[in-house]
Amino acid sequence: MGFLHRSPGASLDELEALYRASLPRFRRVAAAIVGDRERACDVVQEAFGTAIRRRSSFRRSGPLEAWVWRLVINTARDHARLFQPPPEELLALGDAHSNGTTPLHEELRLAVAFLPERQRLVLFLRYYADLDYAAIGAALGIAPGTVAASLNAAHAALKRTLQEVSQ
Amino acid sequence: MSDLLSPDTLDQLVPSFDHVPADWPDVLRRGGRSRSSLRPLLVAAAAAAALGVFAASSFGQDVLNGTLDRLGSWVGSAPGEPAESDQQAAFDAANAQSYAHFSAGTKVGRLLSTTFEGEKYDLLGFRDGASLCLRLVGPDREPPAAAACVPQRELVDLGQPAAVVAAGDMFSRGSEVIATAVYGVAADAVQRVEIETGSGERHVAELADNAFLYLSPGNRSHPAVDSAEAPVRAIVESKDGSVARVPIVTWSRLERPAPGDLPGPAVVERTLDPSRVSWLEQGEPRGEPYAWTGDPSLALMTSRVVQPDPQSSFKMAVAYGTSADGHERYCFVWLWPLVKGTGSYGCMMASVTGALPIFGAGVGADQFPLMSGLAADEVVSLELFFPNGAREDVPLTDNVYAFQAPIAVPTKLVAYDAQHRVVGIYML
Repeated sequence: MGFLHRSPGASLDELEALYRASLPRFRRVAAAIVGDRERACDVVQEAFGTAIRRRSSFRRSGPLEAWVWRLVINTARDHARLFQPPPEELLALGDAHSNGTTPLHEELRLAVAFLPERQRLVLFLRYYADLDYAAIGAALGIAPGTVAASLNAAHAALKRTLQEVSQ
Repeated sequence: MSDLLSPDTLDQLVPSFDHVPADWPDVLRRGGRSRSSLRPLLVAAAAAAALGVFAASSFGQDVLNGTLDRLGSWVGSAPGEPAESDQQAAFDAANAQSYAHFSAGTKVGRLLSTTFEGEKYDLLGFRDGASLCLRLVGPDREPPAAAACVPQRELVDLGQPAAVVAAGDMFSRGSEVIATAVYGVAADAVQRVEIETGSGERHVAELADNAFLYLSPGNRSHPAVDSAEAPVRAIVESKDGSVARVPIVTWSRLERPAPGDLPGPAVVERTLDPSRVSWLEQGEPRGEPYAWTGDPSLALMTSRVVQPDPQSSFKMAVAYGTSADGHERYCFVWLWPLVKGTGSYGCMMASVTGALPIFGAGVGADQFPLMSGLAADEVVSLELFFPNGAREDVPLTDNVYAFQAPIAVPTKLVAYDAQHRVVGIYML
């Protein structure tokens, strides 16, 4: 059994640099999770506020960005759990909510909403945050191979749904 | 990827944020305070409706403004009027006799005085770091009164214009209980506080200098003693006419909701194997040395005192050793300021199953009991979630954690590992 080793933590400067460099990506993934742009901005602000408060607990066992991604995702998931209607209600919402969007977009939105959570998060991090498999794995705490498998499964499920719609 | 599922298609689902301005100063504000300005309001209505805990016409506004931030009488070195010199001297003497102490030179103020059944009672107040402390002194009190302290941030996070801090503080003469006190703090906006009992009767509390006090004869601290007269809520009326009902629990906690019913994580992401507290077993000289006063049968190997929250004077002695039955044990002694001697102690097997066992303990603030204990080595941070969306970081120092949770409102404690994975969820 080893001693506890205290990490130096993350500095405010590091967090601010990450915030300024990657804010649109954080907000976009948050928006994909919570389904609302304004709340997404609040989620990211809240997550970085949490990062500041907890920066001493960051242990540099992985990249700072992955640690912050995890805070953003967890905060967004908390919001989504409280506010987002379940997928079966999204169906009805989609039917009544077609102003300005095509049926294909509505179907895609619903298909994404119906993906298992891990596949959905992997998809968001890949396309809205432009993270590679290793970075996604670090953010979600899963192996890069699992990221690849999840992404493939998500693609397959979405293609299947969209092909059915287009026929 | 097919054309049907191209990046462009996904782009249209969630358009870019490239032109939305950043707001780092807001992040810094949130980093200094533990909650967002938006979130509690958004969550409040749903949580209140779901849990039926809060019922105030001005609830949303209270959450936004944090009315218990506005305590005009608490501005300065001591709240209210300066305490009488003998009261200050009695406080200083009790403070000197306890193992843990409030800061030397702590100034005590007198918030209100009243006479009840011919006896004089004074509700005193002072600050301990980030906490507001109340101390009720009255007739024949021996040993001296403990202090009922609550972090002001937690009072604000609850989003109510008043908070009941203690509801079962009893005064005895011989074997007879002569009075039971309910007291707490009230925001500047509060103009009237009533205490409602189990029978539905309401009794007006004394209100002055951001504090209130209600005294009733005999033992009214528990519904098993007197279900009709035990207090069940405070009815708090503000100057704008709004009324808040602040629940009081003198018997047991509310039924605990499921983790998913409260904000915050609802799923444990990593299950810890039974763990140890390495530094304690290795005999690292953390905290301060402590001449063990707990279980005398413990064959002691390490004994130290840790102050888990630098904003509070509470301390906890922790020890590692072998008990008379041959088992390795972790033991604790709770060390309260103003409490003469070294308080009560408890022991557990020297193996932390799950992230952290929780021990409830407390003196004084019976509506905000202290939860404390030892966390596993893998636990690096703890967070407390409230039904209205507020959340707090829980102090954790050298594996020792301590926080106060409102007994009348369900809360959720979440433990995280170094990768910020959820390793424990505890409904309180």
